Amino acid sequence: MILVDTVQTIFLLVFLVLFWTVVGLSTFVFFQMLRNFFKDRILNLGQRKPEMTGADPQEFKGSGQIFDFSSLLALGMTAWFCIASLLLAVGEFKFWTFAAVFVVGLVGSKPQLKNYYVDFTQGLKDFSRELKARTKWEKTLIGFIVLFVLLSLTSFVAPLESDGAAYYLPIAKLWADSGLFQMLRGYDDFSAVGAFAEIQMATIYLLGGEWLVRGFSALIPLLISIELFKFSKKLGLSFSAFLIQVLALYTSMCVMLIMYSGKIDLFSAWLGLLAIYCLFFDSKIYRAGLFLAAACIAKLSLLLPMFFVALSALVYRVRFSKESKNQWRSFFILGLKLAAPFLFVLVWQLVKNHVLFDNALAPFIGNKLAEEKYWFAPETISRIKMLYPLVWFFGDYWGQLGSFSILVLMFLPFAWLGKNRTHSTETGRVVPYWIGMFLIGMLMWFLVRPSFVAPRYIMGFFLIAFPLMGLGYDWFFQNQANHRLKAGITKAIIVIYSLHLVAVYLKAPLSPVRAFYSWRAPLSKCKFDGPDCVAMEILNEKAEPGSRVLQLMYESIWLRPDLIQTLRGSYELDGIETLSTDEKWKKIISRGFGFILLKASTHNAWVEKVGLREPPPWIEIQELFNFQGVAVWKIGIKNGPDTPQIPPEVELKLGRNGWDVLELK
Amino acid sequence: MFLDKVKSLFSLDFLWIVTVFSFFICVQFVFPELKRLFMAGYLQ
Repeated sequence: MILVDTVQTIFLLVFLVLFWTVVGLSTFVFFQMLRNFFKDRILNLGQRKPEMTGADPQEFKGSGQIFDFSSLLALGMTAWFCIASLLLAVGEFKFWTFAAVFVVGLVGSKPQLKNYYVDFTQGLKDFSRELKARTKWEKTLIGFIVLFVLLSLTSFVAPLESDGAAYYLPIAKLWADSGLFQMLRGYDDFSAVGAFAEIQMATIYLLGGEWLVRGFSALIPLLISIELFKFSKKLGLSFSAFLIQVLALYTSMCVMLIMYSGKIDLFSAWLGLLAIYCLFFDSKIYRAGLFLAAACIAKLSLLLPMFFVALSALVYRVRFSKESKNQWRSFFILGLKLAAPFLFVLVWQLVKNHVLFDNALAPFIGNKLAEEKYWFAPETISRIKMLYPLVWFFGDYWGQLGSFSILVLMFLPFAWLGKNRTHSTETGRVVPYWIGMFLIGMLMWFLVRPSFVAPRYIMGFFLIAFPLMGLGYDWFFQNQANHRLKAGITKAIIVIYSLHLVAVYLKAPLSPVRAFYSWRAPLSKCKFDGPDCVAMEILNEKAEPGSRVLQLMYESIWLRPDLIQTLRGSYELDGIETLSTDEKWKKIISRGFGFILLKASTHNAWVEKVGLREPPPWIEIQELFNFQGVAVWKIGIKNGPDTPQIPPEVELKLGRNGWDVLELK
Repeated sequence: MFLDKVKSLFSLDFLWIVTVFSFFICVQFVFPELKRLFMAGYLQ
């Protein structure tokens, strides 16, 4: 059974990569055609009939390398995000529409597919040649990286918990099942956040990838590593400087803690770094606009620092452009070329929120999420401010979910000293821009959201510190080339720190020991998860279609999609604590709830709030499950002389896209 | 000879690396008060 699941998951992953690649390639072909079309029009001034020519086959050749794999995948995901948003807005996000897009993508990418394949295999050969370690130190670093990659793969069998199990995966499951943009009940305001990764996850659900969604995020650091390699090449860094960046990535707890459990923040980290690369180095700035929008939609908090990145990239491009005579004009035109694709992708986020809330500008305007400005009391915020920037490397505040590797802090300050290295002309001139934008971005974040010291919020921006750190690393080791003791001690520190992180991984939910024991457990659907999963599996079995579950817990991922559709809304039971016990239960029954699901560790206050301890005599309660603080009860009305008449407040209606909870008054 | 070697270790760049690592050891393993400085619960 496990073997079947594994093979199925690998097959699905390969297929999805192919899907995103062909969609990306056909988007690329489409943009090429569009460009040629307008070029013909403008250059020929109507003398010749414009031709819809295909893409230039030389575009990939030679430039090539496998690293277009990462950009192409991102391009495919971005194009699919736009198409899928349209499909979800009209309720047609179905298997057949997905298949149609795949076929169109396959046909559209045909002119480039062969070139890409040749380029891909050649790039793979070049890459593997470059990956060969030459020194013992490089071999040690590769050894650690391979170990961390293997450990990260246990995320496929790590338990689902927190944000992933509560919001990101349930909403993806909901959209995949209903085919329509719907808010996740219980997270009414939160459903306004960007949906880039959720749509990719919904696609995986659409294809039945229950296991793939669990660990998909663990594959993203590999894509980030490809981007770091591209940056390293551009900066002319040594191979070990590239390796130290990847090691710093895997030894950052803030990366490790969002690699499992269906968390999706790493999408924005990867896309953000890719966008920065394209902003500074890609000849086609439209791609930067697309990826910038994708990164910001994947994590809306990136909008703030990325604004300064875009600004500094535009200044950099204009400053070093060979063609520009009028710099202001060039700046304006480049800005337009960047803004147009950015807005084109961003508009689908507005469409989503228009469908969900009738408010395209949510969550920034007219949404409670915008009101969340502080996580801590003022004295704690003052302490955080005092600890800046150390808090990003040593902090363990609530909601922070890990901090960055201290390897970054060790070598980052040397970046300035390494900027004038001789063997790369690009290094010297780009580094001051990066350092400037990094400092300004961090300062703005410090001013606007001082208490949000969670690296995942701005990781797509913060990762620019990694190539800078690589530069600092190279400077340090070249500076200390004749001092073996210093170099030796520094390497020993890196090894000790990495070993410490291996120990941390072994204790974390990504532990292979834990995975092994779960694997050996008797076969059950919930073998990798806790009692939450068992409770919901019982509900899935007992609840009829159209039942409502009063969920008194955050997570809902294991529920049937139809039960997720009808969960308690965020404001549905507002003010219930002020009612008498009888009235509380009348309210619960009138709202159509037939089951109660409680997790005492997080929602114990609700026991009093809804009067669970002393239900009135006319209420019938049957306990279906109660283990480790997670309980399921079936509730109903006893027929008797004291039973009150309870007019229903809602009606559950089965529509084209599943169940709707309709208010009756 | 040995003293010369020790003296040669005193450069700003190397001291910075050692300081960062030492601070990490102190926060993680040596001084719980220091660790608490970098911790807080929600709205505390």
